[in-house]
Amino acid sequence: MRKSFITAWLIGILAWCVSTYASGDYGCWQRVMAASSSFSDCSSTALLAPGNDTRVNLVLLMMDLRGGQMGELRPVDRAEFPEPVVPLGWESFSVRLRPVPPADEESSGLWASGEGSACLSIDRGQTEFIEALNSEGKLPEDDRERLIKARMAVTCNAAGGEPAPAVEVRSDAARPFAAYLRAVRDFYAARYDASAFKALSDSRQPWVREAALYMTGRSWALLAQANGFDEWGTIDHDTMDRKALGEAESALKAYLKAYPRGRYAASAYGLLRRVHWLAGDQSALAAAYAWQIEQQDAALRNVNDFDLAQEIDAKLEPDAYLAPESHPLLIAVEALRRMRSPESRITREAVEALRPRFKGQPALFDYLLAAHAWFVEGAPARVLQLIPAAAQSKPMTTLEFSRQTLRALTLDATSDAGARAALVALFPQARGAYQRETLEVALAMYDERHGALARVFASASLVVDPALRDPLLMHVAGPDLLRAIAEDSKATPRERAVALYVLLYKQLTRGRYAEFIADSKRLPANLEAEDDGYRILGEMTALADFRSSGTSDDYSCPPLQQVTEELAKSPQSVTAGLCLAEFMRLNGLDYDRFGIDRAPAADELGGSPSLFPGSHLPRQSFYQRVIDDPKAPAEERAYALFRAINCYAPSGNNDCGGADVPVATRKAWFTELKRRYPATPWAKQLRYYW
Amino acid sequence: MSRFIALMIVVLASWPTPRTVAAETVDAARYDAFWLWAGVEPQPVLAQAKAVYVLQGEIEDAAPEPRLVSQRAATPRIADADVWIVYRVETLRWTPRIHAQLLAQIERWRAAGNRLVGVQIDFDSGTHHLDEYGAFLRDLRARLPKRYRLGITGLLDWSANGDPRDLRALEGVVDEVVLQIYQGRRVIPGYERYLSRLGGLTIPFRVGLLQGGEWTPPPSLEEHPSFRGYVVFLQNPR
Repeated sequence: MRKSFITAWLIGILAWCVSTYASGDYGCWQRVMAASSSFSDCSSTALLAPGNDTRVNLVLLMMDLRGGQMGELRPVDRAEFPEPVVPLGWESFSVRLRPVPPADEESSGLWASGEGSACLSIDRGQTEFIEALNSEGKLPEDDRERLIKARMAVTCNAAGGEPAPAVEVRSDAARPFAAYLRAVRDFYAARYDASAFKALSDSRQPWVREAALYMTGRSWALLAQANGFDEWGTIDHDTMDRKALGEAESALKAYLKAYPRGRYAASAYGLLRRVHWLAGDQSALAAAYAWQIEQQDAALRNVNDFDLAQEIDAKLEPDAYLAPESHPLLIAVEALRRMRSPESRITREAVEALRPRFKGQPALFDYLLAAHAWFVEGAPARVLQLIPAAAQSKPMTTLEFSRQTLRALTLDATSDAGARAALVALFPQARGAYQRETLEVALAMYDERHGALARVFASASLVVDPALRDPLLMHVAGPDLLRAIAEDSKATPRERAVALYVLLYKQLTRGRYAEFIADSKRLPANLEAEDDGYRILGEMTALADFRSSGTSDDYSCPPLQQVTEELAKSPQSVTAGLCLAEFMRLNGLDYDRFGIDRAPAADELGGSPSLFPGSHLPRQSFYQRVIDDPKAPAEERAYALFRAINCYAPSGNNDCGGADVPVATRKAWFTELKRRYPATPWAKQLRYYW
Repeated sequence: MSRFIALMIVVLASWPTPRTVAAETVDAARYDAFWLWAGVEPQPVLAQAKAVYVLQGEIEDAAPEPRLVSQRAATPRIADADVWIVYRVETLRWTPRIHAQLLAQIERWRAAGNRLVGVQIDFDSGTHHLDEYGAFLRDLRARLPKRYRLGITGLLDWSANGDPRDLRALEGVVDEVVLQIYQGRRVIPGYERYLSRLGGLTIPFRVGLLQGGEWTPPPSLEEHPSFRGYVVFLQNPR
């Protein structure tokens, strides 16, 4: 039995260690809850909420609009210790969902995604030019070859330079191409001449005609922005060439009128958005985004919905989200943003006033009212009026998911007996991106807060993510549940190790020595303590600390087992107390490396009161006990003084836990050590107090 | 996230009790080096900058492979300051394409007339992964033209929790570390604690401050032989 337990344990550990880098959001501290009213870099879940990144809310809503794009999450490499999938930030949200670009559409060559450059089109332009030559039947072979060769010689220098040499052709059929090529050579040498393209926009050659009209708009746009950015690379509307912007807009609109589904239509829509942005025309920009959001034909959208959300975030000003030309989804996103705490800036009346903007979308509008009732007003009863229960028989859209999950959370807030069942009922149809993960958080927190922690760890539990289960073991579980999991052969070896670590850690730090002795028998037999190395909760490296074989460094101590046996017999034992403090010091228990004694806030997962009796005895208290004990032997007393003073080295901050003692007390300790125990190594060694 | 768990371990364990010393607020006008991040409007105070750290791009994790995403609308043309081009890095799995794009961007910045002195990498490395990060930086160092310096933003917990061997491994690889005392747009409680542990740091370092954020210089900081001054992260006025 024991042998197989250990084998399984090792396998579990190996499986857990494969991945080495974290996937989590940059610089972010998760506050684990199903929905948040306050925003941070990682406060988004699948539930449309004020605390979600606006890009996340927009993409979630666009998924509904596109229908059936509820997206499987791509797998990610897990960090070395589990991190909850939600809440998360925009980057983590999108990396698992963003469509993989077709190989030929990836950002090419030396320009990054989103880095504007006229050069970006040079390869695609070449391909299309050659294709057009090849489909022009009247073209003599020698002219075709000349033109191809000349086009292939065109290189791009966005900073300017000499254009490629001109090409001479002999046939009439080749002349429009040659003229187009002349304009293109100048274009890629940063000599933007819209008139050269404009002159070709009534060419008799159909491809040249179409491409030239498009390039006319593009050239004007490039001319317009030539001085439109300041020295920091930041847009400056005042120095933008307004006339050129007007010309660009006309040309691009003329192109789209002539070629509504033309080969450059998607790009022309993108350029028009850029022109509006350059012009600072936020209403036109809002209208263009509304068109793009509504556009169901992907061939006419030049960016995917993720890049679109990113673009809107970067370029559309908050007020423009509510512009008359804007899209209901953008209005919803902005309304939710304005509900953010603590500076919530939207009243219920202001939400009501948006009602006419949601014609034909009552479910979305009612959700906004419900969100306001819940996140701003704290009026759960109104949520229940606004959102009736609705059984879900097919995969939920973002809106359905948000409505029903919010309703379930509200039922809990109104102490409705059906709250848990309402949550559980949503699991089968929670197939959309991050929906299941969001429900798991809600359910884990429900059970945590309703005295049913064991249900989270029962065999058929719907809460399966270790990243949600660990915090409950670390911060909430009492000894019985921890012991039961440590012994549960059906639990994962990792979870058993976590439970056992937390159990032993808390017993040791809370003075429950007899229980520690009994439960430490559950440690695997062949553990060896390690001096250094990074310890990971749920691995042998951490548990091995409890097999400490004692120390002979500064102060000689027997193995931890003996120390605790002594303390179990006489809790006030001076030497055993000092040795337990040594164990804490040398094994970094002061630092609480796994954060077991740092409970999350009350509104987060794991933030309910701990069911483990007792409170953490800080290391400093063991020294104080010896210092305060007049019968303590001289050597012990000297060592306690030495260590207590060192708690404050080198900066005066207390490393050992417990309340700070005044500097005067530390000075008194120092003086006592020096005067009463001058012959001890501690007195000789210590030169300052802090 | 991982860094902040590691970091929390140090911060919270050593959380100083509230002191009566009044914290000062960072007034950008009193400094001469600044970060200009994406979405932050340039401010008049930039005119006095001796050095600016300008965010250009982000190396983000994406399918099928990581990509470099530009964060600046146009190439700057900064007249009177040393310029560090900054990359925010989410993943160290850089493709040859990313390396090529980065080198091309650097050259475009230089060609635009910027006094480009170096490249700063802003990466969230877990303390225990410093060795991996070191190898990455060594590789990047080798690819950069010699005229450019290589800098990184630093994690305050290195000095407290990191393996000193790893820190030493960064000597000669990076020319500068800027230690940030804030996280997101919030000053990290207990930053004094970290800074008090920098004793052995031999890599030239600056301290990164948040405009309008709290800052009380630890008494001995300015005498530290490796201390090279401050960089202020500019924020849009609220």
